Amino acid sequence: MIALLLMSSCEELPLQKNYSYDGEQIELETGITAYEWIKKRSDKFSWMLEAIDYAEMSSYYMQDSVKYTFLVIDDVALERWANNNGALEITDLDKEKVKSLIKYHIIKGQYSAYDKQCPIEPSFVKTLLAGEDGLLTMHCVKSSFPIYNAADGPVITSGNIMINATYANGSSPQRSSVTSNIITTNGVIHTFSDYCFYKRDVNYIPLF
Amino acid sequence: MNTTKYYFSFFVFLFVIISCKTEIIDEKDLKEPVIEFIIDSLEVDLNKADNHPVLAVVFSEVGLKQIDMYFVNKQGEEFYKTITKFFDKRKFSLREVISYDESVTGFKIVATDELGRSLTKTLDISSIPYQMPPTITFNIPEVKIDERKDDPIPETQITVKSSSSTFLDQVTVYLFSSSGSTLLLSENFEGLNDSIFQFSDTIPYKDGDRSLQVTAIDRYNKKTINSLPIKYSAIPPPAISNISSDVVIADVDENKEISFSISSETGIKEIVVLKCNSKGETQIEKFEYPDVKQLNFNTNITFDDQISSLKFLVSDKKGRSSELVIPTIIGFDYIENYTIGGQYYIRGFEQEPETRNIFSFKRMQTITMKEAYETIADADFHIYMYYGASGTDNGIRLNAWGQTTSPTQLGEVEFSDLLNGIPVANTWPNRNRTFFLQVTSAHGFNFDNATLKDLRDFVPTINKDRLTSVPLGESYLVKTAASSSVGSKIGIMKIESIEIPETVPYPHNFGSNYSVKKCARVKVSIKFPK
Repeated sequence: MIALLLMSSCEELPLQKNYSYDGEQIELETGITAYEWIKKRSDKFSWMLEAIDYAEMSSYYMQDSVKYTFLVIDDVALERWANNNGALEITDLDKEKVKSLIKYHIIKGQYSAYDKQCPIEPSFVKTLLAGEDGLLTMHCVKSSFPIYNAADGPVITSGNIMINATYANGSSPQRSSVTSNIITTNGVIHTFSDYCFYKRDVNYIPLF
Repeated sequence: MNTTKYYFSFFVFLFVIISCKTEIIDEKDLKEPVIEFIIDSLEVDLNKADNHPVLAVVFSEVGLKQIDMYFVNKQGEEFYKTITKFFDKRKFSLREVISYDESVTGFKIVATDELGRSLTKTLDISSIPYQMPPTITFNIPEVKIDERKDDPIPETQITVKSSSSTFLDQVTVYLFSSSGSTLLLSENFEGLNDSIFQFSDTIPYKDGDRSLQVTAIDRYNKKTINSLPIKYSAIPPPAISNISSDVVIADVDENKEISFSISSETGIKEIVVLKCNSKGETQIEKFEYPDVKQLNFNTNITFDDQISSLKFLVSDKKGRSSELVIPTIIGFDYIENYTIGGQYYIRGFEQEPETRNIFSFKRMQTITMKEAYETIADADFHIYMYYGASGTDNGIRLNAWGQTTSPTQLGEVEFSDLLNGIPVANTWPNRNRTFFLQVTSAHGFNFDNATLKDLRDFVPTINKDRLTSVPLGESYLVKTAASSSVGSKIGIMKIESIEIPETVPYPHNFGSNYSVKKCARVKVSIKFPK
């Protein structure tokens, strides 16, 4: 105790200074259409923008009257998709094929993690792609437990949007959003590092 | 005063109301429920288990109150279920796994919002009816062949048909017999649209065949299995009995009679006599018979030094044959399953007088240490049991009585009998240094087919006077020493069995802590040239 008193007496510590906290509300809404947002982020989504224009689907992304959920694929994934289909550019591909891809990535209704819009268990939603190939499930990841993967270690996924969760939609591959819940004037955007597609079983040949 | 208070309160209330920024929404302006089927119409296949469920999304701007569902069939509607709880009452993802049947033509959904406004939408459902699996038919109810009646083998016709709305995928035909199954046919119809398959052939059925099994699979993976019974009544092959001897033991160039009886329902056709050895088989005689059903056969054979067995092939008129093999021991002294004891038996025991430790080729039997000491030239080898063996070493050593590889072994206490005037064995003079060599496939013969000529002509060196860890079932060439009573000769020996008792069998005077292992009994068979 004596040593403590001596040590504390050696130097007078300065008092903590006051500071004022300037609170700032997080801006959830971008105030622009999905099309404008994708265009604004052409550093990552220029292939998506090109695909939307090439497939003549831009009106869905530009309009303001109906709410949609837009699944936006990044450039790396779309370039890989094009290459896998034997093309160097999106515009080298069959237009109907690109249109099918875009339609599958537009969901009727606004499904974000806010306000209980998105289900918390895999649920079928209506894409613009008609028929069996349009089947898609989505849900909002609720778990607070991180998912571990070899490359990144623990990844906090709570609030992520999960498309075609494993076993929920045949053999369709599971996709998890990279950035989610970007509110636009015509719905919500979730971005992905890979494209989504429907696969009934292991022998099924996907539409696109 | 009170009136003033009331006015004041009223103005304050009005002020508050006016100050508030209000947004009044008339719910009636919001849209009525919307039902979107995810797949607009369903065609279910009742032959499959993985048909899609009914999938829909119901939207409501006001909020859903309830969703009612009905089956629609030819008779009308049938209530299915009602949902009143929603995670998000503005959007509901409907997924109903229902049991489809041919009568269901639709699935009706009635969505009602909180204002009581309803929307009805029906999903059209068509179905592919349940199809029967493929049919398999045969031209005859069973295959019946009796060799005694000279029944011919019938032609077998198989017809496979798929149901009308699908095609065949695969047809396989197996012949099942007492010895197992044989694939006769496998037709794959992938890529073809065949709804019928026909097969016609004369299958060479034989004795032991039980049934012809046909399996047909259609595109729905529906399978039918049908069998055609086979009743094959065969005439047995010639029966051989009353064999004069199971084994022939003879000297070189000795003539011996071999006899046996034969009976055959269809008649004996011929008897072929073959001489066998490690090099193969050679025909030495052939006897043919015109019409004999019973026969007491005998023949005289002169045995040379190159015969290890005789084979008699007896055929009947139907081509069936039976085989008789008689092993021969020509020019050898022969013992079979003869017991040699471990060193525990070296002095012999009254209770087990036939089991001793030292083997003598002159006597073709084991001898006691006393007998060996009196005639050292008769003692050729013994079996030494190493009690400390572990792992893959079974402890059995084949030791020449005069072995020099491990000379201290014969200096152990049990290899002496000082009370009877027998010194420790490693001090005995002129002990026989017998050599051993394990027989391998490279030598071209084994214990059973080794002939006298094989052993006389044997060239490779045999120079091990001690072999360790001698396994069961192996054979060894044994070369006696020039000092042996039998001189230098090469014989062959096989280890037939190894027995290690659980306890020391009898009291002894070898000392305390005597290992049970040393009491082992090893049975051998030996062929040694006369």
